[in-house]
Amino acid sequence: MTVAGWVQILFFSAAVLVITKPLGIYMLRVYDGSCMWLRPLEQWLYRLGGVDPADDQHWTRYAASLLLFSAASMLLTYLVLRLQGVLPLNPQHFGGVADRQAFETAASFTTNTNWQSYAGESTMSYLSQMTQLAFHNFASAASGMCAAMALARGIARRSGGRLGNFWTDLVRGTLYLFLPLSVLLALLFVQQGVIQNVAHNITVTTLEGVRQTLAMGPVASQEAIKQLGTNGGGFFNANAAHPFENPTPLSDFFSMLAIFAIPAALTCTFGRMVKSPRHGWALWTAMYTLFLGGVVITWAAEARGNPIHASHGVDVVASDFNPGGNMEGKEVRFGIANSALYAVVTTDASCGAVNAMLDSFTPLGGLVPMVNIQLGELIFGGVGSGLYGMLIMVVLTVFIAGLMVGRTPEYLGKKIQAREIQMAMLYVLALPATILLLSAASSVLPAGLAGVHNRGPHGLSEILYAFSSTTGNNGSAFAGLAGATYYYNTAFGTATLIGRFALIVPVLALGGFLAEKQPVAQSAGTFPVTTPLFVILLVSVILIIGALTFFPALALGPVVEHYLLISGQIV
Amino acid sequence: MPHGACFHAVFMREALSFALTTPGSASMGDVLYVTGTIVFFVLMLAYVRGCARLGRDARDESELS
Repeated sequence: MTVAGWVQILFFSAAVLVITKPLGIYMLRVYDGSCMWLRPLEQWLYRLGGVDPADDQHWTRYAASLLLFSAASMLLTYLVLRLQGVLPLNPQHFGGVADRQAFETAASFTTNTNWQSYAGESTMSYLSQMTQLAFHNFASAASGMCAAMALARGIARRSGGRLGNFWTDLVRGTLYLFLPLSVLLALLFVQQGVIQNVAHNITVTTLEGVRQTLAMGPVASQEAIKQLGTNGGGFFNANAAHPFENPTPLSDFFSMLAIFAIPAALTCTFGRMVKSPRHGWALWTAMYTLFLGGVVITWAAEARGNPIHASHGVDVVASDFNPGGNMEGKEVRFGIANSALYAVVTTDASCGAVNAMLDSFTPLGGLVPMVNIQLGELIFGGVGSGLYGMLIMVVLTVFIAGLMVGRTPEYLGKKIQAREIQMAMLYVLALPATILLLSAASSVLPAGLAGVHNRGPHGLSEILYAFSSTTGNNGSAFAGLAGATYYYNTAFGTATLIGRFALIVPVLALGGFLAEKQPVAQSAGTFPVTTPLFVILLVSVILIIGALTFFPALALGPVVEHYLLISGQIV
Repeated sequence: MPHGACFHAVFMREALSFALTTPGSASMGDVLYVTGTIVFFVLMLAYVRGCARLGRDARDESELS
């Protein structure tokens, strides 16, 4: 662990801290309708869609609107991917995407997962990339923000179960937040050397005299929203490890900052919506504590390296001429600390972009990204989904605290009763049930085992990671699993749909139920949600729920693999 | 079966048969994936109704107690 590594982590942390308040206040203005610099375009879109922006939807209508929008856009994407061979903007003359991959890709991008079982540069036409995948990068991120805003309104106000207007939130988030920020970031990426064109691929002769095809495409524009919307799907198969997608240390830094910017700022937005900015900062602190812990563990594991390599005389100690540790699967230009930081950032959020191959991480180094996803990606988290995942944990924390003192729990003046806990439990159970059941089935079914390239605990880790990533809507891969089969494409596509919508529905229901409640005045028995004690209890609840749920499966995968590694064995 | 419904059924069968047997066009997978997607979202809408009902029942119980 080097000084340069610590400087990178601390500089990144400071940047996230600095951006939280101004962006959070801006988002507050976006979603309360006081940000109006694109008003004519916004009004035109409402007229075009026949939307009444003043229509305050009940939570059931809000949820139905979100579901119908997602269903329609997913089916359209499926159609375009299947027909891309006869559609324009296809200079490479790619054929239609296979039905199983079109389903998985459409589901994956609709749900903000962006799991890819194909190489983008050799499968998707520019039309598919620019009109479908990029559209979902914006729309799925904006939908996640809608759900978070709806829950926040439910907590903040009393409105008979009404949570705002889904279509208004969708348009405002896209117009005022994601579009301008992604244009700015795309320009920064282009300045750093990320390519942006619609040209034919180029064939060049390398220094060794070998002919090589260099893929071209509109990368910078895709890259910007991929990070800002915590989408993660790379234009290139190598994702952010590709020099055309992530050419410099500065583009790498901007990428990570873009992933965390909106989820971090949402804590400030939420704090101000509920008239308790200190509660927003308490959430930020809990998230940052978990983030820093994850980075340190991953970095330490990777910096320590592989003991089997060391026993064979490989120098794993860092020096001026040797990065040391475990450099397998990592870009030399990024090194160990940055690769660990990127891996934790991308799995804390629901992004899934990678600048190093997670399959090559040490067992403990790979365990942390997997746990980050299994905790529900609430450590800053996906845009919107991070905040609502964390608020579910807050409801449970307040409930447990209430049980400790024998009072009806309250959260920001709203009583937490049976139906709120029922919705929280539906949310908490749906994720692990899907991950564990599908992982268990794939570990025994011939179709599941056919895709596993590694035997023993690492093979189990690959299956477990894949279903954690797809159900958790992350999209990153251990990359040791052959996922381009009918079985896995269908299972992963289904997992992404369940992981997104089976969780959003109880979130909106919880918001609706809270919005029906009459606020009660705070009393001496109210559990304060702005103190260090609350932060400690919240972090503990998150870790305990995660540990109780996933520890048995993790023990059979990365934990066993770790002990095998330190005893010098390879399965 | 009414005449119109019979015609409709025959037309659908022929259209489906054409789509599934013409090279490069739709496959049985398309039918299954599209139908599966629609069924999934219909189930999610039912889930919304179920949650709303659960909420009403739980509220009634807490008000009674």
